[in-house]
Formats: sequence, C-alpha cells, structure tokens
Amino acid sequence: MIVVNETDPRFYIKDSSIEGAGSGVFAQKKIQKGNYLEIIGVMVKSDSTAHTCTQYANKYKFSSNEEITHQIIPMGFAAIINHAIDQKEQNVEIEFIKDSLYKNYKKKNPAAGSILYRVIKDINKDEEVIGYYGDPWNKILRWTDKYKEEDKGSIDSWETFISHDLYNLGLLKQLFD
Amino acid sequence: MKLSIKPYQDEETGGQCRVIYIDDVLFDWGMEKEHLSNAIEFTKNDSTMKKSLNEDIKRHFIESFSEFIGKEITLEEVNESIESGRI
Repeated sequence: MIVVNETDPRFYIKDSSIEGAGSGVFAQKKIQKGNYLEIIGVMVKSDSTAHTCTQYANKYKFSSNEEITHQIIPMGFAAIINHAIDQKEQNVEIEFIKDSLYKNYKKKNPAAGSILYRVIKDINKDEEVIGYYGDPWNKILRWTDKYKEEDKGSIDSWETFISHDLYNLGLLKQLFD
Repeated sequence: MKLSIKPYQDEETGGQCRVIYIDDVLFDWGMEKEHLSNAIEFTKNDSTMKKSLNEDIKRHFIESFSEFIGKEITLEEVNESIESGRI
C-alpha cells in the first residue's frame, strides 16, 4: 500500500469562509503571487477499471493533463480547496506543467504530479485559498445552492432541446438516463 | 424570421442529421457524430464530466446561434421558436 501524506507547512485546515462549503484551506503565513501548491495524490487512467472503482471520488478528481488521459485523486490540501462563485475571490488557479518543463520541476512531495495550484495573487495570513473553474462548476458543486432552481430550469430546457435531435444532439439523451 | 428544421447531408462526411434553417439559410453548426459519441462514452460514468459536457455544448450552441441570428437568445426561446416556426 502506498502511503501518501500532505506535508506543506504553509497551509492549514479550518471551517471555510464560504457558507455550506465545509472545510477550507487557509494560509499559515502570507504567500506571494507566483508561489504554488503541489497537488498530491494518486493517478488513475481515465478509461480504466480503477477510474470506475473510484467513482466515489469523482467530484474531487483532477485531469492530470489537458488531454484528460489520466485523473488525479487528490489527497492533500488540493482536495478541499473551495471554489468561488465570484471569480474576483479566486487567488489560485490550476496549472498544467508541460512535459518539457516537468523535467526541471522539483517536487517537494513525492506524491505530487504534473499539475499544481499557482498562486495568482498574494494570499494573506489566515486568508482562505480559493479556486475558480468557470460557470459550469458553479452549477455542479454542492454548496452553490443559489444556482439550484436556475439549474433545474436550465436542464429541463436542454433536455427539451436535445429531444429535437438537431445536429445529432439526441445522442446526449443517454446522459440523462 | 422563419425557423425551419430540415434534414441535411454533409457532402464531405456523408453524415446526415436534422439542422436549423433561418429564412432558408443553413445554420451550419455541430460536431461530428463520432466525436460526440466518443465524448459521451468517455463521460457517461462520471457525473461531473457529464454535466460539464452538456454545459459546454449548450453554451457553445447558444453563443453560436445568437451570433448567427444577430441577437442574444435563450434556450427557452429556441425551443419556443422550434414549435412556432418563427424567431
């Protein structure tokens, strides 16, 4: 069995500043723009049995590259970094390390991979670390209650639209079964 | 403007599908059936990616269609227009 542990001393966990989000990650001290947080965990191939067997973790998986051939199940701070509804609150963003740069990238944690969270603006001591993944994620993540009613109507309209089977979009019906 | 639904055959791929015409002008949009099938196969066991795929296609359709007709339109309005034949 592989033993994985989060050892980055710059962060700690406490209740999130975002209502209903559960735990969040906070800065132990001021962290300047340009620094990064390694995403540690284990990786599974996207079309593998291991991916299917870890569906319980799908909500937390990251693609390990832009082609989505592998997915990381995060097991450190990255697993509980919360997601902003308003992009202005974002202070970290996902960054893929290109293969050419990967050779020069020195991992601090052996369980880190080719993806990290880049700090895009200074994070003050005791400030929460917040990501942002775009509007679709706002509608997927569980704590964004304000989107639920809007989302229901949106899904109904989309189902109606794809029922017309225009541009072969009828194929998408199977995703609603 | 008149909105009509007609069958269309792509001359390059030979693929057939139903498409939208506005005042008898084709709204040339869509992705190849094979690519769409692959994307569905890839995401169908992953609820997060499944929703993201739907959202991405929906957003792309609405943005492209709004640009084509020269005004912003919602999916609800598109559905109504498909029923009424007017947009």
